[in-house]
Amino acid sequence: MARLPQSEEIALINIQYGVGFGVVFQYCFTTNPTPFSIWPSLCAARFGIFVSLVLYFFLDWLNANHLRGKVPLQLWRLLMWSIVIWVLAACVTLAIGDSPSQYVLLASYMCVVGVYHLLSHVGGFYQVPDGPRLCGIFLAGVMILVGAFFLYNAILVALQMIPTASSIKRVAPWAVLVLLSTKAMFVLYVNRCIQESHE
Amino acid sequence: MNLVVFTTVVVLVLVANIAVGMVRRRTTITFSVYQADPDKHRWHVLAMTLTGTIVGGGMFLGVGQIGYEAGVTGYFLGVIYLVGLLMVAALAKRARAMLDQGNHKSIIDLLDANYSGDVVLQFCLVSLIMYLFLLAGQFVALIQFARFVTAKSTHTFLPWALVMFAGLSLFFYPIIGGLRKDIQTDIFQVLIILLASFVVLVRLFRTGIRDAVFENLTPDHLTGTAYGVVFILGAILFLTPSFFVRMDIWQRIRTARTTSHATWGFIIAAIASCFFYFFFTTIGMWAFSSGVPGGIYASLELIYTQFSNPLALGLIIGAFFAAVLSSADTFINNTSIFAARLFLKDAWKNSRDQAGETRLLLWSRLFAIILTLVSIILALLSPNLVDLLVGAFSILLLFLPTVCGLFVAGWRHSTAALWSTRVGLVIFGILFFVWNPKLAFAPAVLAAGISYAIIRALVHQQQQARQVEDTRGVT
Repeated sequence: MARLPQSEEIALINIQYGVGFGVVFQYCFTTNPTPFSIWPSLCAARFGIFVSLVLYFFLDWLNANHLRGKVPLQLWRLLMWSIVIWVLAACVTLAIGDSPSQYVLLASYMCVVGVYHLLSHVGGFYQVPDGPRLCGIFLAGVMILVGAFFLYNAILVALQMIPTASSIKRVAPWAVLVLLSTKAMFVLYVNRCIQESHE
Repeated sequence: MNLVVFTTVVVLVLVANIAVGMVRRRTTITFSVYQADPDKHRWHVLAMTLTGTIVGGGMFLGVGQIGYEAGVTGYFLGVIYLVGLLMVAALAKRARAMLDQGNHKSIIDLLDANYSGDVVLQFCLVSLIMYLFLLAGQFVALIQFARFVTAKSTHTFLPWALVMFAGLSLFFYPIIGGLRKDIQTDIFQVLIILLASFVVLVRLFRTGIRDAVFENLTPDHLTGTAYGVVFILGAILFLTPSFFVRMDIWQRIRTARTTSHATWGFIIAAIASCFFYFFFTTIGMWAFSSGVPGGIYASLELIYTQFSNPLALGLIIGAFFAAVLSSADTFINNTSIFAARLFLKDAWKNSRDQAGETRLLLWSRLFAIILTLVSIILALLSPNLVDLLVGAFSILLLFLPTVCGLFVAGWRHSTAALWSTRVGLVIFGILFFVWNPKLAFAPAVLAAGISYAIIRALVHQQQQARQVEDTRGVT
């Protein structure tokens, strides 16, 4: 069988990675452990978040592949990219409900995305110069710390040690929105750097 | 309580500290040793000196107050310190390579080599002011201690005498021996702090940590949101990268014997700093649970309630003095170096000559004396202003884009560095007076970062347009 070009191999691996990651994450981070047989219905119930997570990783992969190809993106494409990520962030924000399990889900979401970015940058998944890499590592660190703080509070609510984390409820969706939009700005900046280096 | 035993223990700690600082070594103190003591210290020494600098008098009282008022918020600050110092550890290799490349002694030299003179002067001026207030903050802590003990006992003279003795010791070893003596004494000071912490921890665990600390806490104490979620988010965003713009952190990278000693020193210091944040926060929470009055004196109130043994109490108060001195000596050193760079520009350029070095050493010592006196006056006359500016210490983050330029050549830009900092300073100045003095730094830092990127992009575009025009002209 003919071997796929290397870039397509990477693409396939990364798409599967994104989807697989989304499914495992969705299954593992529900507050009440559920039998494996009903996880598809669980995913269906939280379809919005599931899809957004998968989309997020997919977009990330797409972006990284553009960078690997060292193709400078045109401005309209960069803007489109940012808008998609902003909309995505808004979807995640609006999907968040009021139950303890949703708190846990949201906080875990941030931690997982943070760890994903940290590993991506440290492992050199993004072919970017040192500056954006440092920024990316810092951004990932912030996501993990903020996510850990929210997760701690969510666990307190889930364990009924505190009645409700009302301040978290107010701030957490905005934190997700800001962090994901910062990521969008980061994408713009990275591409700008690459354009400059080509010029 | 036996006052003689208590006083003897505290005085012994202070005398031992001076003795350690004044121990002579064969090496003579040059300006290089005074400001950097390069390639000298092993990882464990580095870890102790970093911990000593971070655990100051302000932390002793301030973090206890956070624990009292906001519970686990102090734990989150500890985790932020852990992550921030680990980030420095991760980048220590790069930082060392940059310093080694030009045989630079400090971050000032590094900035000198990569940016215009105006950027360096601006960095030194802002850092000098902020470190001066940090130094004054240590004296404020000493004064607060003296006032607290005076109110508690009939011996009003004794606490002031101890405070004066501690303050006086700062006019000797840090001024004579510079960074080398700072580090030498930091080892002793951290050992005393660890010993006192052990004594407190034994009592805490004997009392039953859960009953003593967590039993009476409110939900706000448990969630860490007593100061608002924005406080935590702001601390994560602004405190984590703040280590990269601190002169004392770069000094420790330079003074490490090798890169791996630097890396391991920072890793251990990160863990130790996190431990002390947890420790002082727990003391504050313990104070809250015990029902002692709150405020800045919460930790001291608890210690005076729980420890009546003069030996133990003397050791803990001695540790408080050690904490103050361990930070103050570093800040004296740093302020004098900033002043030397600001006022002796020519001598700094010739610092590798014998004459230039001698002149710099002499003037640095003089500046150290003058600035220590100024900070004492500030602490006595305007403790509230000192408190406000210490709270706004993160204003040094105005220089973060500039320092990032040291790591990333493409990002480096003198014009952007100069004007973005000025924009940030103006915004800080306005917001400090008309808005919230302790939060004014946050919008200023954001504005500085954004203006750095914009100015850099604009100048870059202009340069490109000029290049195109020149090329057309030639054709």
